[in-house]
Amino acid sequence: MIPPTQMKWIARSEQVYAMLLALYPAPFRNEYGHSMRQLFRDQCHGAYSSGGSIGLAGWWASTLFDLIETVLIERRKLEFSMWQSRLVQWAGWLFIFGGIFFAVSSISQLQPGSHYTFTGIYQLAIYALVPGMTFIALGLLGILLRFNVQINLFGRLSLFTALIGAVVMAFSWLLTLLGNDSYRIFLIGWLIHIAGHSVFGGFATVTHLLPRWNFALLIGSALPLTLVILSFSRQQESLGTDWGAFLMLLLIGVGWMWTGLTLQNRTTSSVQLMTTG
Amino acid sequence: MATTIPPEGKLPLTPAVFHILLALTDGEKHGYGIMQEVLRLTDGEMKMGPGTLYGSIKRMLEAGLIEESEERPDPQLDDERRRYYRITAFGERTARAEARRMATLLNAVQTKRLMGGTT
Repeated sequence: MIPPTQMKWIARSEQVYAMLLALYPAPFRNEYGHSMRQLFRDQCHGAYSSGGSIGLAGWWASTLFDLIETVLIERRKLEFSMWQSRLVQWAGWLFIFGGIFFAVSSISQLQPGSHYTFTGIYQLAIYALVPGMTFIALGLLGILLRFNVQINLFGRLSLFTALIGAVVMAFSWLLTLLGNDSYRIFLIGWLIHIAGHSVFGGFATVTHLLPRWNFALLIGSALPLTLVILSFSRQQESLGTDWGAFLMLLLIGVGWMWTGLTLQNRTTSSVQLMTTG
Repeated sequence: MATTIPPEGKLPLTPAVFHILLALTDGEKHGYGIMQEVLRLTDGEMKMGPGTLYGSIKRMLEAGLIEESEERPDPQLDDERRRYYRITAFGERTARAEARRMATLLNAVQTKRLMGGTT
């Protein structure tokens, strides 16, 4: 039997613990705060019954340690989850911006003369590939999070491949522009990206993944089309306006913008984070 | 749903999650009941605070390892409504897979004679 004076201490302990629960993120506190308080009270009684005041003090020490540790964990998880949620909601806009930058980069291929170096407006246009690929990589991460549960392993793998390719492209192109010759890595990244993108585009079309215009993803990727255009542009070598490369970059840009519009058409309220699994 | 994922994809489990699953294998329990069962199973070695317990419960619910059963009063403790949790079929498969993984590990430990010897 716990004496009334000690019962008072236990009640005060519970009040202090209830105040400390405010440190947890609101969603977690609202869901589990009451149960945690209840558990704390039960354990306070248990600790006092088995160890008296010293037992209660020991319980408080371990609870404080647990509280600090788990507050940090829950806050970090909440921030991560919010970041994921934003990425899912903004995926459409990221593709639109990425597509615009891609379309702008196509202007570089209109430069007369050699394409080993770009100058003036054409140089600015070729720089646009870096933010373009970065936006698209982030957008791909967004749809990977958004459709994680709906797509099977095959779809996930192709999407992941496209994402990795996009990241390699963005970094290697940035390095190339900064003076390090990473053009071959860029081309490997391009191939990886376009392969993953094409397969995922086909998958999305067959499985009706997008709210509408399921073929939108294919427009920007279309591996056969890209290869045809590439082979066409290769015949012109690096001299003069490269209409093949121009068309290819423009098509990819339009494809991404279309995909972005398709995703953004769906109201953000209906977007659900599908990361559990 | 999470239950379509092979249980091996969830391994290794954290000690807290594995102990909670173990505590729930013989029936549904509320938070304090889980904690008492874990203490009993580990001879008082595994002490979880409320934050660790409910943080783990939250993630286990999201992963489909456990589910919440209907709230009901526990007359043995008090008349407050408590939340009860029970293990799911996926949770059971995951716990078994983790037990197998640990048994393999223990076997390796015994092969290396790390237990019972002096250093």
